[in-house]
Amino acid sequence: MDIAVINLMRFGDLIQCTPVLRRLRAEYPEARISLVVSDLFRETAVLLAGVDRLRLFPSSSLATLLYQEGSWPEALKILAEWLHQSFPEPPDLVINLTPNLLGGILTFATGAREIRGVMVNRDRELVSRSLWASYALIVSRARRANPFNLVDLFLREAGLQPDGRGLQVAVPPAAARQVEEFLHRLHLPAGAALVGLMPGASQPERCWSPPQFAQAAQLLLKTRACHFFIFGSAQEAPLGEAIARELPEGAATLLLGRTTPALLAAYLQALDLLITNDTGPMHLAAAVATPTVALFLAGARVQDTGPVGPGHIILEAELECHPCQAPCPGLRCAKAITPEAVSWWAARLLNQEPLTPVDEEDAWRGLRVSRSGADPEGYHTYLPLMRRPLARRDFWLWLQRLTWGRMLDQPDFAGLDLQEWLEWMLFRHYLPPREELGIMTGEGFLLDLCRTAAQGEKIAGDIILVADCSREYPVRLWQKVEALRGVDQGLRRLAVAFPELAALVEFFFQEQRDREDNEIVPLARQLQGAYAFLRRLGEVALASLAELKLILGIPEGGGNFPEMAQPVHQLLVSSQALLPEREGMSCR
Amino acid sequence: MRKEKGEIMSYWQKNLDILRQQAPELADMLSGTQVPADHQARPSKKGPPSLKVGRHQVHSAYDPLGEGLQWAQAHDPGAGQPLVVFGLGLGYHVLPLLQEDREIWVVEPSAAVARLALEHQDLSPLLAQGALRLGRNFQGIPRGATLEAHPASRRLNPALYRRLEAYLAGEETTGGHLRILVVGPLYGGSHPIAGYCRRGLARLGHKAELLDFAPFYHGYQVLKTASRDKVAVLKLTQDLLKVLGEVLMARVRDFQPDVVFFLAQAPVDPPLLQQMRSQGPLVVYWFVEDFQVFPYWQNLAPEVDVFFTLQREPFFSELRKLGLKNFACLPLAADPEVYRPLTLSPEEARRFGSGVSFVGAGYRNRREFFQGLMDFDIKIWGSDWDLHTPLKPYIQNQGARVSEEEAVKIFNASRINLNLHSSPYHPGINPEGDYLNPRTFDLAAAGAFQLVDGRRHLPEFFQPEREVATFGDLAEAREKISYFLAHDEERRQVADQGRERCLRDHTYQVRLSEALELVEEICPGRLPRRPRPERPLDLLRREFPEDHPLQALLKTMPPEVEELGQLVDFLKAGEEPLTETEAIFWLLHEFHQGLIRGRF
Repeated sequence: MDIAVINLMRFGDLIQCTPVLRRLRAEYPEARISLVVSDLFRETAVLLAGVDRLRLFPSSSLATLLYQEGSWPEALKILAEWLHQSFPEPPDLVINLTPNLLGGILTFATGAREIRGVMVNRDRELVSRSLWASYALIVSRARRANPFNLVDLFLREAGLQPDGRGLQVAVPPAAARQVEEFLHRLHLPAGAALVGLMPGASQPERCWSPPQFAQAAQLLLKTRACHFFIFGSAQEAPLGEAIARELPEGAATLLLGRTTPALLAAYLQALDLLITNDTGPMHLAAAVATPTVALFLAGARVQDTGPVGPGHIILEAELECHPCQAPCPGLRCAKAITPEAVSWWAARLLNQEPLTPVDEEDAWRGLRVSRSGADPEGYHTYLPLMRRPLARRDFWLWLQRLTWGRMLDQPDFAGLDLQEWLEWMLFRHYLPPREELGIMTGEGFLLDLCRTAAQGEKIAGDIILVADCSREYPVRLWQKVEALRGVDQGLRRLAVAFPELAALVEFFFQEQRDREDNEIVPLARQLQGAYAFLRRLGEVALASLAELKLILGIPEGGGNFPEMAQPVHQLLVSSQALLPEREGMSCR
Repeated sequence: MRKEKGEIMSYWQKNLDILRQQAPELADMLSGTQVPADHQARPSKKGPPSLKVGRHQVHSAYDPLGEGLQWAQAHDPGAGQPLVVFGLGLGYHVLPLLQEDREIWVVEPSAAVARLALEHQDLSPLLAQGALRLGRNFQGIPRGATLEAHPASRRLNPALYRRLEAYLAGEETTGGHLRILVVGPLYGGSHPIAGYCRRGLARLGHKAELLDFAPFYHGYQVLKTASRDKVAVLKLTQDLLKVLGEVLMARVRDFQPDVVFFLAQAPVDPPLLQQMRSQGPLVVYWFVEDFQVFPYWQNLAPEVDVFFTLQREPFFSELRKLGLKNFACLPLAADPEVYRPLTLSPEEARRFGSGVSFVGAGYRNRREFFQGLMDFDIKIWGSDWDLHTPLKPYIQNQGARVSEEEAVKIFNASRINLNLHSSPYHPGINPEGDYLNPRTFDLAAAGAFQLVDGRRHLPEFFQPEREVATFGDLAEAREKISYFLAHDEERRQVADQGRERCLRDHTYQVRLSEALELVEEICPGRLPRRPRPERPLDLLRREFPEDHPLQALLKTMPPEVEELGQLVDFLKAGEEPLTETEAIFWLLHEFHQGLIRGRF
């Protein structure tokens, strides 16, 4: 079997697709697996295990020619030849993990027999093959309550089961030896912790500032002996130099612009800890099992792209605007993460202290701290380490975890385990909610959603009936089609009114893009099925909501906090999820 | 010996009769040609008339006959050899070469000179052979024929000479492939012309780009109200113009043009022009204004490589007074893609139609003149009209600006389109008016019937009363309006003939080809002779094997598709399902778009 995995994204995304390669190899041991990556990332791609053939998309030569006026025919020739050489025969299966038009067109151009992920269809629409692929495509439009990490979405798009084992790269022995020799020559004191600092990021607003990095390092030095290695590209060298200037002489080694991907992997593997912004090296560190303290600023959202695997700590600002749509000039989220907090959590990781939840303290009131892990289904999770009352955003996030799992993972979904785990997790990592969770509004939304979807289902059914006599009664058919348009407008309105669950509606519309049939009856049948699916999705979400309410002890019809606070309090105490005195303190 | 008037008339009539048999269109054109005042045929010392054009002596003022004979003997290629003579003059050097067994053609650049020749010389042997060609019309002349140039004619028209030379050598054009940046103004009449120029240059096969400053116009207007302090407003305006200059320089650095082609009112000043010239591109400025109304040419003309005007004398004398030689006259033209015959809906015909119409700004001479036409079914369109005058009922849309598309509809819907050239100084018709306004060409290209005031340059471009109808005063205008309103067929004939002439001789494509020849003449050797790049689609056809599916796809492409983006747009617009071959084009285009966006 010939399988091609297409990932034309950047450094970090490549590392994040390693579980796909691992699971593919496990599920198709006899298959020949090709990985299609941009030639700019060849050195990264060779670190990925489980690949039989690398197919390097000729980005460099195409870009060079396209920048020259009138040279596009030559570029076209190169591309056509590359396609022919890379795919002399259509692959049996293409898994496209590039969630954009470029990846979609390339996937189509391979002529593959089976496609999973995103592709363009013959109508030139960007469509998704598999329900999970549709979900992955709409995440960016409804990401407010997305509970799934990109790594798991890659797996599910590819039709593979998450295993919660995080990322994985193979450090070349030569690079490991080179790093070992380099470290030896540094003559570092015995027992000194090796700590990496990664001050750069793909966007400036996602960078914690060099003075903050330097202060965190200084504070860490006060608690234990450390040597710092500062990583980044050559362009980021000024950031590293600014940090090093503030540290005692000989406390830091600057490696910015001096590491190939293989060497970087070897360095990261040798570290005890990496303190980093949301970057590709963060994922690489996770892939070589080095713990990280990751700082998520501006638009970076931990559930989407946090470091996966057990034991990473992620810090974010506890701000309503985070993660943001567009960065503000004040960089409030960068200021909210203090050097004291970073050094404190870094010390906990270095000292291998247990990462159990602690109660919120005044000093860290502006922070959100999460720990990476996995749920019983193998999906990566981020659980709060600072216990706070369950907030509205978290409530709907966990509801979506339950709902989408039920809808998209059947028949593999082990609902009971997840339900129990959720119950345990909610008591262990959260305090009872204090704010209004929007339950009544959410219930109203879901009921409306079910009603509207059922209406769509019925009208689609009517169209099937009317279509047979559409020649005699064209107006009737037209009226039905218009009515369906009204249903869709109603769905759009619902999504705007309750953004926490907008993903359900966006998912429905994404699925509608892949309709290649032009005949009325088959189209109406497909639509009928799609509305039925949406209605079922709403019903499952309602059931999940009821379960969560039960877990939290929220009475039927109760979204009102004072009414529900007491049962939750009792539940928390009776389940012994919290120590009574701590719980009491938190509820004051 | 001085020729009597009767003798002149007899030559003219005889020649014309013969010419009419051989080339009736040319005969009509010469009949309608008016000889400019600086073209003077005067008796030589020995008697036969000599010719002077401007300051140039075309024939000997002493013995033109002897001089012509001498030249003919020196340049006779021998019996049987096809010969092309560039320049007719008054024919002295041509007549001795006419032999029964020789194929000969004479190309005369100027209609006025040709007319004088027909008036002062018996050219019947030449005309009977059908051997006279005018201007760029080289029809029927065999390639490879020997070319001999009459020196004075070549001096006067070097660009046309080179064109003829290239034609005989089998080359399609004289120049190489150029990169040309057209720079327009923020607003005003020359703004659309900049767009037409870009298209005309592109149609000539050059890489032409328009730097359109119109988007900055709103900001420019806002600045005027930014402060009550006039000094502050002036300072802000200057700062904006400085920014626009930097925009221009950035574009020049990026596009690397061979030529920067400015239209009048483009936001440039002498220091910027100096800076630009120092960076390499050849700087051309087309002053599409009346030099007597707008004097800013005095600052700009010395700072550019080539300065094009609409007017000749006395503008040329003024330019010479500044010590300049870098100028030439380049008349306006029309863009037939914009100004074209249209089929209007009944609603449009009602809304835009009338017996008589005028489209243009309300200059004083028009405000006065049109009051004499109020008893006709007249509609007046355009801006800057005073609504507190008796014309108010005839002014459409309260004097709102008329868009290009609306103008085309009005031209098509009106039975008679008046064209009265503007003048801020004269009541009614400007008796000194020379150059033609854009409307003259636009109306002709649209196939619309126009009644235009008789301008001095008009006969060079359109044959009066055949290709356009003219008037010299209000009485004549009224008389012709009445006549043509009553004669539909004649109106249609004039309009059709005007359009035919315009498409042949007065499109921007034709005009800009002339412009580049003039640039070459004024700045010899400055334009690069870069070979024309192979068309991308031809390159693709060559690069891929004949049986490759891409070849079939390329066959479906319309000829105007050149660039990857156009090709992909064309394919996407199709009804056919996406194919894997088409996907390769789309994939490359999407990759290119990602490069431009900076993300995929």
